[in-house]
Amino acid sequence: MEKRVRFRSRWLPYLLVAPQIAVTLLFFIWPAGQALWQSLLMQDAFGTNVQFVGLENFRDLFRDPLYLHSLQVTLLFSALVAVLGLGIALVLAVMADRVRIGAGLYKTLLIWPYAVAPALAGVLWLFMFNPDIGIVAYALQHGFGYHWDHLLNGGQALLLIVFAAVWKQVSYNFLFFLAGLQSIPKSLLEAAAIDGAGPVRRFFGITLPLLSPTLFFLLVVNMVYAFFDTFAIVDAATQGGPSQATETLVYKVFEDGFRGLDLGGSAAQSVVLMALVIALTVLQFKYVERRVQY
Amino acid sequence: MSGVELRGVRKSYGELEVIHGVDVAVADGEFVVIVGPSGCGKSTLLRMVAGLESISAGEIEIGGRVVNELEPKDRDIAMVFQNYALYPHMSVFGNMAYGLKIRGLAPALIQERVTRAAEILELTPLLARRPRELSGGQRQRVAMGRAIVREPALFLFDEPLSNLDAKLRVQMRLEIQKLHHRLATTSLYVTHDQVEAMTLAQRMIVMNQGHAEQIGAPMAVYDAPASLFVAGFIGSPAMNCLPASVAGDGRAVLEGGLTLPLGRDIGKTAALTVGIRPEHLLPCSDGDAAFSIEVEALEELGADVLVHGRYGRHSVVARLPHGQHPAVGTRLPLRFAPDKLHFFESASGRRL
Amino acid sequence: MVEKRPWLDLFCHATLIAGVVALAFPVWLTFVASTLTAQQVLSVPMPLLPGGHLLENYAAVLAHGSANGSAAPVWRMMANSLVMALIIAVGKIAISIASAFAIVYFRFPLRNFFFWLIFVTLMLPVEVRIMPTYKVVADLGLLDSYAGLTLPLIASATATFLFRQFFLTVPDELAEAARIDGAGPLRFFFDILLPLSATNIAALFVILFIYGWNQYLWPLLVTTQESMYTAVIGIKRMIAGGDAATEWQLVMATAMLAMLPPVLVVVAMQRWFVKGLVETEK
Repeated sequence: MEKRVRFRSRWLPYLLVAPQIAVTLLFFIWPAGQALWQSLLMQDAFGTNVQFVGLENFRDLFRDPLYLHSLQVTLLFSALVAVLGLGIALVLAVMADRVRIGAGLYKTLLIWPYAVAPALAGVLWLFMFNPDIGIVAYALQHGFGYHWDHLLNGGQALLLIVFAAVWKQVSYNFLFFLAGLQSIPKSLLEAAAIDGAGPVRRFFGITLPLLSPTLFFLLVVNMVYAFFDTFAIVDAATQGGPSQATETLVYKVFEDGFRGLDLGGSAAQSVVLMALVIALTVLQFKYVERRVQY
Repeated sequence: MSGVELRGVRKSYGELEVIHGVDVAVADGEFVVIVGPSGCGKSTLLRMVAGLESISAGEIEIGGRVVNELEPKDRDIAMVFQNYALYPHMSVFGNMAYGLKIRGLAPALIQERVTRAAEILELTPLLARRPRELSGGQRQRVAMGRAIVREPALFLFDEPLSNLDAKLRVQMRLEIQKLHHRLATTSLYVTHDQVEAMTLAQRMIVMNQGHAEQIGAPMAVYDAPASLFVAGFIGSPAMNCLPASVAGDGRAVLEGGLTLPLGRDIGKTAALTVGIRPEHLLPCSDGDAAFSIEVEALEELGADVLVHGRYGRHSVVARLPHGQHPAVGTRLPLRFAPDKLHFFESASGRRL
Repeated sequence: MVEKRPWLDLFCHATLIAGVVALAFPVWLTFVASTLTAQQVLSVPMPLLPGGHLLENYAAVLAHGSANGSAAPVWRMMANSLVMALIIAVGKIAISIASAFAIVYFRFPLRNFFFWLIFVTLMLPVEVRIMPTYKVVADLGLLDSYAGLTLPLIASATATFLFRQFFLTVPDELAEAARIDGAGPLRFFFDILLPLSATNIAALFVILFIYGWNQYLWPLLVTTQESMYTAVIGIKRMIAGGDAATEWQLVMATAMLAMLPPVLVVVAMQRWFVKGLVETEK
C-alpha cells in the first residue's frame, strides 16, 4: 500500500530514520554479523589464538551429545508448554465466552499474570515447589506420598519450569482465544442449534474449525515464546539443572558463552537459533497473510 | 488581478499521457466549473492547479504569477475537498483557524476572520464542536469556512457536494452561489454532475478522457455543443442522436428515409450523426409531422412527461408538456424546427 | 448461548473461578510469605493466611535488601527498573514513530532498504545475539549505565510496523488540506498525525513498559554493580546459593514489590493493554 501524498524534503526523512537505523546497525546487525563470523572461528578464552575453521563448529555441535540433549529438552519443553498453555487457555476462553454476568471481571482477573516477569514466575514456582519449605512439595508428600525434589529429579525440574511457563502464557493465549471466539458470528451457531446440534457438537463442528487460524497463530507464538522468552524462568528456577535436565538451547548459549567462555561454540549455537527464529517468523508471516483472507 | 491561466497544460504518468493540453483563461472573479464523467481527468487538472500534482508540460498562472514550481501554500489558494478533510481532533474554530495560525496571523485577526466566516455560513453555534458531532452538511460548511478565512486569490472545489443527499445538495448549491455573489473570488469547481455545472457555472469546461472538449457559458454549451460527447453529456434527458448519410444535394438522409436539409457546407464528410433535444420534438397532427415514433414507455415527471419511443432501430425521447398521455403502443407524430438540429461528423464527433 | 442450561452455566462459572484461583494462588502465597517472619516461612507447612509482619518486612527490604543475598536496597532497584522501563517505552515509541512517518510520507532513495533493515530486527531477539551485543556495549564503555541497559532493546520493528499500518489508514486528504493550509511535514506530524495516534501510543506504552520492566537476561549481563540492579534481577541475587540461608520472606516481599507496577498498569489501562497486544501481533 502506498500513500498518494508525499512531502518533499531532501534531508528530513534521513534524519527521522537515523536513530532507528543507527541502533539497528550498532546493536542488531553488527553483533549478528559478529556471531556469524565467530561461529566460523575457533579461539581460546582470551582471543589470542584465532583460527578459521569453517563449519567445524557446527559439525561439532551436532555431534555433541550435550547439544543434542539440549535440543531434545527444548523441544519437549515447547511441546508441553504449547499443549498445556493452549489447552487450559482454550477451556477458560470457551467458558468466559459463554457466561453473561461477570465476563468483564473474569477477563481482568485472568489476564493480569501477563504483567508478571518470567523471572518472577520462576521464583514463585520455585518457592512453591522448594523440596524443603515449598507448600506444594509438602502437600504432595503428605497428601499423596509423592516425594518431590527437583534438585535431584530431572523430570520434575522440567515439570517445574513447564508449570511456571504455562502459568504466564495462559493469560496471553486466553486473550486471543477469547477475541477469536467473539468474532465467530452468532448466527452460525444459532443456525446449527436450530438444525439440532447440541453444544458439544457445535463446539467441535463449528467453533473449533473457525478458531483454527487463531489456534495456529498462537501455536507459532507459543513456540517462539518457549524457545526464547523462557531464559529467565530457567535461570531463576533451575539454572539448567540438575545435570542439564532443564538446559534449553537459549540457556546453553548463555552457559557456554559466559560461563564456559567457548566463543566459537556459543556463536555457532546463536546462529542455529537465528535460523530457527527466521524459520518461525517466516512461517508466522506467511500464515498471517492467509489469516487475513478469512 | 487574480485570474487563472492554463497554457498547454499536460499530465503524464510515465509514458501514459492523461491530460492532453488544456488552454483556458479564467477572469478575475469568474466561477468556472470543470465537468465530465469519472476518469476524465478533471480532478487531476484541479490538483495540478492546487500544486498537489506535478505539471508535466505547460504553465499555470495564478494572479499573474507562474506557479508551476510553487508549493500549494505559496500559491494563495484554498481548497474544499469531497470528503471535507477536517482535522478530527480540533474544534470547528480550530479547523478554520489552523491555516491562519501557521501563517502567523495575530490572534485578534484570526478571531475576527473566523467569526465573520462562521456568521456567513451560519456556523456560529457550532464553533466549539468537534467534526464527529456534526452532520454532513455542517461539515461541508466548515470545510468552506476554512477556505473562506484564508481570503485567497483562488477557491478550488473538488466535488464538494458528492457525499451529500439529494435535498441537501440542492440547498448547498444555492449557498455556494450566494457565497460567490458575496465574495466574488475566482473559483474552479470540479463535478461530475451536469446539473451542478449548469446551475453554478459562469463558464464550463467539459472534459472527456483528458481533453477539454468545450469551454463556454452554460447556455452556449447547451445550445451549441461542440462534439457528440458534449451533446450527450450536457442536458437531461440526453440529446437524441441518430446516424445519417449525406445525399448529394445538400441534404442528410436518416435510416428510415427522413431527409433533412443541411443548410451548411460540411466538406467531405460522408457519415453524419444528427442530434435534437427531447424538448424540441413537438407533438402535432399527422399532416404536419416530420416523422413519428412508436411509443414504448412514459415517464411522468409531474411538470412534464418523457415519452420513450422508437424510430426504426433507434430509441428517441421526447419531452411533452404536462397533460399529454400518448398510449403505449400507439404512434406519436412529431415535428421540429430545422434550426434546432445539430449535425456532427460521426467519426470524430466534431460539430459541423 | 442459545439454550438455557443452568447446570452448564454453573459449570462455566465454576471452571472460571477455579482458573482465577489457580492463577492467583502462587501470588497469594507470595503475599502471605512476605508478611511472615523468617521462622514462619521456613516452617513446614507454611501458613496460608497472612501474618502480621507486612510493614516490617517491606520496610526492611526497601531500605537494605537481604543480608544473606544481595544487600542492595530495593527502593533503588525499583527506581532503576522504573527508569529503564520508561526509557525503553518512551524511546521505542519515539524512534519508531519517527521512522514510520519517514517511511510512509516521504519517497527517498534507500527507503525500501531501510524498511527491510528494520524488518530484519524482528528476527533477532536479544537471546540470539547475546555475546556479540555484550561485547559492543562493553567496548563502548556502556556497562553499568542506563544507556547500556536500554539502547540494545530500543529499536523495535513491531512498533514501527504498527505506526506504519496506522498511518496508511489516515486519509490522504487530511495531509493535502494541511499542505494547503501551509503546514510543512514537521508541523503536520506534530499538529495532526501525533494527536491522531494518541490511542496507539497509549496501547504501545503499556506493552512496552511491561516489556521493559520485566527484562531479565540483558540487565543480568550488563550490570555488575549493585547500585544498578533492577528489581527483577535483584530478586535472583537475593536467593543466596550455597550455605547461606535465603531469607524467603524478604525475597517474597521484593517479589511483590517488583510485580506491582506492571500489574497495576495492566489493570488500570486494560483496554489499551488489550488493544496493544492485539495490534502488535498482526
